[in-house]
Amino acid sequence: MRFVMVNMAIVLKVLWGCSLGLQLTVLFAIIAKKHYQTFPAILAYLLIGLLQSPLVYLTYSTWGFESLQAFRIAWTSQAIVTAARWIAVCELCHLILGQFSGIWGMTWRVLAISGAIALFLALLLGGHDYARLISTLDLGLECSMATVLVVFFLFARYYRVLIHPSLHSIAIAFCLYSCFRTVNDTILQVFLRNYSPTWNLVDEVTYLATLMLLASAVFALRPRPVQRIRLLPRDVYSEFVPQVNSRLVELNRRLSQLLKSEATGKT
Amino acid sequence: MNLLLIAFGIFVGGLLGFLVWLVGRKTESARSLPSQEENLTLACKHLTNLPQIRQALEPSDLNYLVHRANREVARTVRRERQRVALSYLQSLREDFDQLIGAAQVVASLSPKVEAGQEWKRFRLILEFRWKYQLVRVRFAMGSPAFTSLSGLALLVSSLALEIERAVTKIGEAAALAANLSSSADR
Repeated sequence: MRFVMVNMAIVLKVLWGCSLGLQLTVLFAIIAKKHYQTFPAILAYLLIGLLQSPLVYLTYSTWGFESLQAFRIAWTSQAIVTAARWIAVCELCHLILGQFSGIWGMTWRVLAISGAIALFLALLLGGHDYARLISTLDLGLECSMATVLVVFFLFARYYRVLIHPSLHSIAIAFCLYSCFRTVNDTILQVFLRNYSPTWNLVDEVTYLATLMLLASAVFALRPRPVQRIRLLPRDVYSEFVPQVNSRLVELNRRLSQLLKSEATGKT
Repeated sequence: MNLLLIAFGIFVGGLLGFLVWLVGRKTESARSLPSQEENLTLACKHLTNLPQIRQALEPSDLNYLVHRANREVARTVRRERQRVALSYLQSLREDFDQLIGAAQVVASLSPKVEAGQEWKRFRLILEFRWKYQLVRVRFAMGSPAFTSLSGLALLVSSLALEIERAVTKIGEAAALAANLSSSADR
């Protein structure tokens, strides 16, 4: 068992090194391509993540994996990183849908409500004792982030909004990371200490995969990934959409009639 | 606690499934819908085939065959009629999707939308899809009647006409706005 733990620590160090290298690469790519004005929150998230790695490494080397101090410092830094990722996700959603001011006014409310519901449910279902409280909060935040991103994709698909492939990849990367972290946190809730070394390893692997996806997206980014949209005059919607809806009502009524007549054999 | 694992496992599985579906459909839609403006191009393709469909589904033809030819021929013709009706229904559905696509683009390009209208349209689209599937199943099982199909076709066409009229208006308004902005620039 001890041999396995030592090996795991070596693997973790290697993974940390890799993610540090990738974080630096992504950061330099964003700065070199002058995307810091377009993605300030994503840049901030990567910077905070970059600072977290040496901090956690130092903490664990000083106090060890099992100490309470290391536990507190690691989870507090994690809370800050998760909050930064939340802001990065909001930035991404606004960047893509924000230019469609009409649907954005409705979408952000739906996203906020769905995120709040997911957060509330996760907090309700997660453990509330001292050992689980922080991971429950993390679970809730990850769960709500994943939900918000899936709902965001649904809206983009429903309104046929074309998303630049790089932005699409960044959103997918964040969504996948949140999904895997939700599962990882849930397992941690169940097995606690027995799972914590594995939790670290799984988290590091998924983070590395997310960084790879982010790196490929950033390298493929155009100078201006979001094009300006020219909106229609105000009265078009109020004239056009109610008409379409009333036609749809009629169409559905006709379909119902058709179904009834087919059922009774009359045509 | 195992219940927690199952609950979150199902939830995350659902989210991932949804994500895969959305991403997969995205590439398909990106191929068919290259730009916002092109989404507003309307062509009700099914209407041009309406007379031929009427001819193909004429009940007197089938009655004649039933009385004059053998059962096998009548059965084959009935099957063919069903196939024709089903593909016509499919093309109606494609036209409907195109029209709804135009409505979605108008909504997305509007500076202000009403949540009530958007929710109503979403419900109506779901209702249409559900009923369409039921009609499809009914048509696949039994002999379709032309009158029911033509009623639907006319409704989709009139929807297309209204949308086309609105699209023309949108084009005029956009051109006017462009002229105004260019004259303001000068």
